[in-house]
Amino acid sequence: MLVIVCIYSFFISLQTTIFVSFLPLCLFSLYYAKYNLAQVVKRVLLFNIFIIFVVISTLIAGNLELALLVFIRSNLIFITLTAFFCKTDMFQIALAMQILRLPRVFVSVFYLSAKAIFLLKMELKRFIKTLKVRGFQAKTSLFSYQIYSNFFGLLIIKSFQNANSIQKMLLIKGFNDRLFSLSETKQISMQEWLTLLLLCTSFLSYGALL
Amino acid sequence: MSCSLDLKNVSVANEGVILFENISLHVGHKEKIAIVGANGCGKTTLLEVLAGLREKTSGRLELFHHTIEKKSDYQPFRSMVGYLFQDSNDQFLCPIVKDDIAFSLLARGMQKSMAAKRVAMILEDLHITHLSEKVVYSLSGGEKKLVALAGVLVCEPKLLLLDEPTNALDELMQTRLTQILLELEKSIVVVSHDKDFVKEFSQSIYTVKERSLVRIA
Ligand SMILES: Nc1ncnc2c1ncn2[C@@H]1O[C@H](COP(=O)(O)OP(=O)(O)OP(=O)(O)O)[C@@H](O)[C@H]1O
Ligand SMILES: [Mg+2]
Repeated sequence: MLVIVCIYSFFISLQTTIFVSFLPLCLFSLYYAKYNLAQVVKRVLLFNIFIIFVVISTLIAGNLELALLVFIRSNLIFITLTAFFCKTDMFQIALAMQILRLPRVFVSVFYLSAKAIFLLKMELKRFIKTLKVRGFQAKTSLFSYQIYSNFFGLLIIKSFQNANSIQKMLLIKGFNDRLFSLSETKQISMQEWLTLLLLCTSFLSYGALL
Repeated sequence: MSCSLDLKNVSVANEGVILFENISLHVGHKEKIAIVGANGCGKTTLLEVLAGLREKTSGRLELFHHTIEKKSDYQPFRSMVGYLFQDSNDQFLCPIVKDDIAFSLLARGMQKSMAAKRVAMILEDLHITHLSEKVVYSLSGGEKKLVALAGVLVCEPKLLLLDEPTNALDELMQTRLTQILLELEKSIVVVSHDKDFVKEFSQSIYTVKERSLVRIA
């Protein structure tokens, strides 16, 4: 699955023109994620905030065509990626990377940084709860900003501590650069075959158009 | 009597603050001891030294009759020592409960089917079979503690170092855990504030007083 989508995004990013033939896979990915559509939409919208900046800056440079291309292209890739992987967590992606025989160090670094980011996200949630419980109201006062800056300080200290405790945990668990899971690696499913098929057809029709 | 762990005139410091000075501690084969003491007196720090996660400042640490000088000397004994963190959030590596418990087994090269069997057994023992497919971060505090404990016990270490195993557990689970630990034929060092648990569980109790360990029972 990971491979297919990687090829797909890589291919799209190489295109200078967009063909309709790339749409089916994207739509199919949305169908695949039909139960998590809200989440996908949310993420795509968030992502577009960043894209808009890029697009606007290219527009200012007077290149309408390029701006459109960047917009459509990145959205296609992003929608497909998030739609396929919104249910998969970092652990499974890291496992998949391991099965693909990517370098061990790379996989471990990927997974452990994902874990560290996740821990910081939990910290953020906890901090927001604390603020609510302690009756904090966001105002544009010096006090508010002080609280916010305290939080960033806390975050930095926390990330040091997290790194420390993750290191200890790895020692305790006997981690040796490999991840393991009890669940079996799945056979290629119907959906994955379909994805592959769609990928092939979009390539073929693209080739035919050339 | 053979011994699992022996401390002689060991001093321990954390960030330059001396927490223990010239303490000696002997943990015999299959002996169960408990350490109690005020908050912040350095119990967790001491346990980390015993687990080879932190360097002592001076003195001698002997583990299974081998002298440990540096952290790296500890490596061959890692699989024989189980350590339970005070904060169970620190203990997890994999997001799914059963994967996390099985991790240490698989990392040592055990077959998947065998590891799955062992995990099922330990889940049964702790009465948490219903949690096996859950995501660890969505568990309650007590459930996390039990899962972390399962991850330690499943490796069947010869020496167990447990940092407050009973906090966050309900009464039923506490008695059950005491039972399980008493049945284990292992050397165990426990840090705890739970008086009943400590009394019932350990052969000797130490308390931390003015940077030294004093035996009180
Ligand atoms: N990362 C750190 N940096 C600086 N000081 C620390 C750090 N961690 C712990 N300490 C200090 O070391 C001392 C011992 O801490 P430790 O965690 O060992 O206490 P404890 O006996 O386990 O307490 P508790 O019963 O609350 O768990 C405390 O005074 C604490 O302030
Ligand atoms: Mg402690």
